[in-house]
Amino acid sequence: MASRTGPTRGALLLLCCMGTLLSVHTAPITGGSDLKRSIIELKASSERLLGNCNETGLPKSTPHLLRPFASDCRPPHYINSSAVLPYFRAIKRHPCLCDNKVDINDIIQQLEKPLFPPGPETKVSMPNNSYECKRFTLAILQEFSTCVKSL
Amino acid sequence: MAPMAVFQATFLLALLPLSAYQSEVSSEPLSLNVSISSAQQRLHLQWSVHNLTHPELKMAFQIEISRIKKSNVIWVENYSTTVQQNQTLHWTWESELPLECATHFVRIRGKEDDTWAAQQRVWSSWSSWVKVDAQSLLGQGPPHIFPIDKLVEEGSNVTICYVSRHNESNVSCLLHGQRIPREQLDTHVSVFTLTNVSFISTWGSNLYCENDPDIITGAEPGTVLFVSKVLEEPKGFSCETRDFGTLNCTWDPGSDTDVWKYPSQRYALFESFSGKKKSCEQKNWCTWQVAQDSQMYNFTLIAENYFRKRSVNLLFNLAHRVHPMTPFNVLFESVSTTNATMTWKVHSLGNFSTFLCQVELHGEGRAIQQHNASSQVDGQYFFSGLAPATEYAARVRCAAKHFWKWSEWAGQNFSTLQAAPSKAPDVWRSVRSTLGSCNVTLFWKPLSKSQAHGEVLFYSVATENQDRLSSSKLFSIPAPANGTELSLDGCSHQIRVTASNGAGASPESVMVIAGDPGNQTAEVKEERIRGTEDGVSMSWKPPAGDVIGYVVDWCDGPQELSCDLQWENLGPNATSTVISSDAFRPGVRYNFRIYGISPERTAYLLARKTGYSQELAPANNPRVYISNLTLHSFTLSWTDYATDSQPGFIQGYRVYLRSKEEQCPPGFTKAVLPDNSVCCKHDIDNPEQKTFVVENLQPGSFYEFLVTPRTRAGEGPAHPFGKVTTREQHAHALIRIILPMVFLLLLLTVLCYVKSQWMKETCYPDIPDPYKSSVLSLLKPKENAHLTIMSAHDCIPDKLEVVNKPEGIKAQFPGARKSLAETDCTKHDYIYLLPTEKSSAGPGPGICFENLTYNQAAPDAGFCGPVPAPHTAPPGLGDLLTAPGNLLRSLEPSYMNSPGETPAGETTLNYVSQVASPTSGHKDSPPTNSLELAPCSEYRMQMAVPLGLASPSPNENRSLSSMSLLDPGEHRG
Repeated sequence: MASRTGPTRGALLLLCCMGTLLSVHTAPITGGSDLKRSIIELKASSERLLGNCNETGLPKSTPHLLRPFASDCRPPHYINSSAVLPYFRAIKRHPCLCDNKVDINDIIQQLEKPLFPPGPETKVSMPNNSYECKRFTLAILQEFSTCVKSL
Repeated sequence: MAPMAVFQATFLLALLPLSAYQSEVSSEPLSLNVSISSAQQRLHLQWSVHNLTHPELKMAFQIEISRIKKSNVIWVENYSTTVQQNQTLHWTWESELPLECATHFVRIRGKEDDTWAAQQRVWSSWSSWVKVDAQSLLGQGPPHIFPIDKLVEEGSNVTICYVSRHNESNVSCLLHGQRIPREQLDTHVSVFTLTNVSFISTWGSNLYCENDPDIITGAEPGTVLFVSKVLEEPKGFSCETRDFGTLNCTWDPGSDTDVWKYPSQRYALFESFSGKKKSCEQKNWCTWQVAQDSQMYNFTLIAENYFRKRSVNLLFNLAHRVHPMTPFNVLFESVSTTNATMTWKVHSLGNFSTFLCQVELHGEGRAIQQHNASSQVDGQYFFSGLAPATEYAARVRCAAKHFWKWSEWAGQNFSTLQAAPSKAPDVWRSVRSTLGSCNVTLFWKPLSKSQAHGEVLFYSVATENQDRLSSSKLFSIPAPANGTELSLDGCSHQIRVTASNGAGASPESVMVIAGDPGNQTAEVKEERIRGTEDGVSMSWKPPAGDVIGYVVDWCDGPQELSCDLQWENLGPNATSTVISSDAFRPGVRYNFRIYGISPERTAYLLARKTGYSQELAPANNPRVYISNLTLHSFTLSWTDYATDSQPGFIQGYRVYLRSKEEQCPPGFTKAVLPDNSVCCKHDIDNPEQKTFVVENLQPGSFYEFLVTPRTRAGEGPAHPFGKVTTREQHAHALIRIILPMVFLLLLLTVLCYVKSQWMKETCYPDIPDPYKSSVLSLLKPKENAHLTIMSAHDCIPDKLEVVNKPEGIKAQFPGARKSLAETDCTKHDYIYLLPTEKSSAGPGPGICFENLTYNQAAPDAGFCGPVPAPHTAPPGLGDLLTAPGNLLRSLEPSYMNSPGETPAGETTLNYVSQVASPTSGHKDSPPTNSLELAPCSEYRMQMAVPLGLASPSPNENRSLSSMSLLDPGEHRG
């Protein structure tokens, strides 16, 4: 009798994980209408922000100094605001890529709503080097846009 | 040796003071210190001179800067300055290459530079090289790009370097996606030179370098180049005051040179008389407090940024730069029907209290009055000549006595008061008389705004019977009605109409209706008129009597029923007019009536006109009928074509004729149609002629024709053509032959149908006569004496037996043909012709009949009358009869062989015959026809057999179904 070891067990494990991941990320938003509306607003704001700030002349690769948001975009709270908010507050404090205060303020206001339970926030500081600052800001916007699009 | 020693000592003594002096003034400058300003790419040099011979000494210094290695001197600077005791000297050098890109070396030397010591100008020795190695601060980390966040001016050149700890040869850099040419400075430094950089964004131009290891690690180094626009000189620098307290200076700064990280563009005002300077918070305007005692000002506007500084001057007298504030408290006083007074106030300017003001009056969206007025703080203006009940807008603006600028407008709306309408309404009527009463429909046009002098509230209509002056009526029709209908007792009435608003009634509009207007219409003949571009033109003869004017009326609608009555008043001298209306449509006929107005206000019909504002070509052709078709002509008629309802006056018709013949008939001419086809045409100029005879045609020819009407605008469509073929020349003769023949054929057909039974019996009887059988014709030529037709007369029946066969009994011939029951014969009567006693004494031939002509199924069906089972075959025939096959086999030779082949003396005779149905009633039927046979009679093989064989017992005889046994003696050849 063949034993289920090696690649077979790994494949099964991967399958289970993928299924769980897909079910989590493709599940309908079960929150109230306020949560749905907030997520719709966040999608729109992040899309506009990314469109306005998507400068040419920056490399497509992402610097490794940013923690991905993907793990913060899942039920039950959908967006871990305590993880995301510090980044947008830093962008607001130190804009270096573009000047779209309206959408950044919108995102911050949405994330500050009680719909997204608050938690201890970490301090995020923007790089002084303009080039690194731009890459960092762009990476934040891209990560967040991907995050809210997946909801 | 002594002279040599003396010379040597003298020489040394001479050199000693010189060397001593040199050691004092040209000693090596000490404490050379070099610092780096990385962002500015500058080297700051500091040094001091030791052992100065004087407290203050003018000196020259020479500075050498090398790059990468000491021998690679890239800069030599001669720098002169006055040096004091213990003074630290400074000098800055800016590198075009970022200092991190390469190691630099600096050294310096100096000498006295005073004129009195010219003869002693000897350079000191060089200081030792000072190494400036900014790269050493980078460590062993990822590659770097320098400069970082550099600010440059648009149009300048920039050098960028890529510094790596490894040998790099495949690195490439991109500025906003555009690749930059690379130079290798050394094994781990690449240099990229940007020339004439341009402004891209206030957020800077992004530049990064690609190298495979960097891409993999996501650490592609880059930098942002902040390109600033070139600072422009301010344009339109101007200062003014609105209150003598503050000067407001404005200018156009031109392009904004600030970039996000380095906002350096700033402005300042400097006033030279007072010596004051003020930094401006804005880039395009600034305020300055006016001093009480200052009338003259000389301003310098200074604009500067990181790279440049520019300035403009302005000298002015304060009193000439007064821009008054907007007037306020604009009011209207004493507003009447035609006048109004406007008042306003102006902000005080202290001693400067006289203003020049401009007032404007607007009505209906445009300026109708404009006036200038000198004013103090309080101003006013009197407007006259205004229209009653009209809304106006008035506004005012002011300027100082020494004109500099107008203030902004200040305005107010107002309306004049109402007045009674100034003009009588324009009234017209339509009269219809019926049985002694008159139905009058009054129409009036609304008064224009300038005539109504306010909103018309109602119209008053007063009627007065001319025959009975005491009989008068008054009607009030509320606005905005534009007419009313009156039913008057008799047509002789005077009608007065007024329009009233809130201020009073208008003058009266008077008209007199007298008599039946229908009579007038019948008496006046209608004339045709032509339309022009300006309208419909018409003229008339002035009447013999006096007129106070004329009225032309018409219906704007195309139909009388939907008449939108319009009219136009004309003066007494008018004899023609051109009527135009926006409602006029091309192709619509309008009827005009021209009335003269007598001094008694009675209107009487002068002329009737009809016409089109624009005639059109007919849209449709008449429906044409063909009649009187002959060999050479036919008649076209379109009598039901209505000429009055066409889009133009029908001037006539055009007849087109098309045929294969080249020549046109007389009266026709060649014409080319719009589709370039050639045909013949004939014009009919009389529009009332609606028939036309096309003559002189060829018999039996095919023609196409078209009748199209003509108006002044053109003719109708050139389609569709009708088709006609003239009669054939011999057609009538053919008809004289064909018709009787057809009649005869019909007659014959009827006769045949009536006599069909007789015909059938005569020609096609149901039961054929054996004598007429074709089989017989086959047998006759054989001339066989033994073969003959048996005639019933020849048969001497001695006994008749009629057998009724019960239903359902089948033939019992195993392996034989089908049973009779299978042929649906339910009841059979058989006739047995049994031999007489005489003939039965010896053997004689028997006769059996079988019909081979008509019973096609006979070979299969076998005997129609099967022998009932109890029957037994006669002796000698037992085998033959019980075995039909045998019987057939015995018969076969008789059928198949010719009679001549039959052996002589053979006793068996074969007959082939037909038994006629007794129901056929054939006159040639033998007497046996009187016998009643079953309806389903069968034809049977008939065979003569020797009587010897045919001597059955009576029972056995019964088994000989349909077999005739004949006496040989009675047989006749």
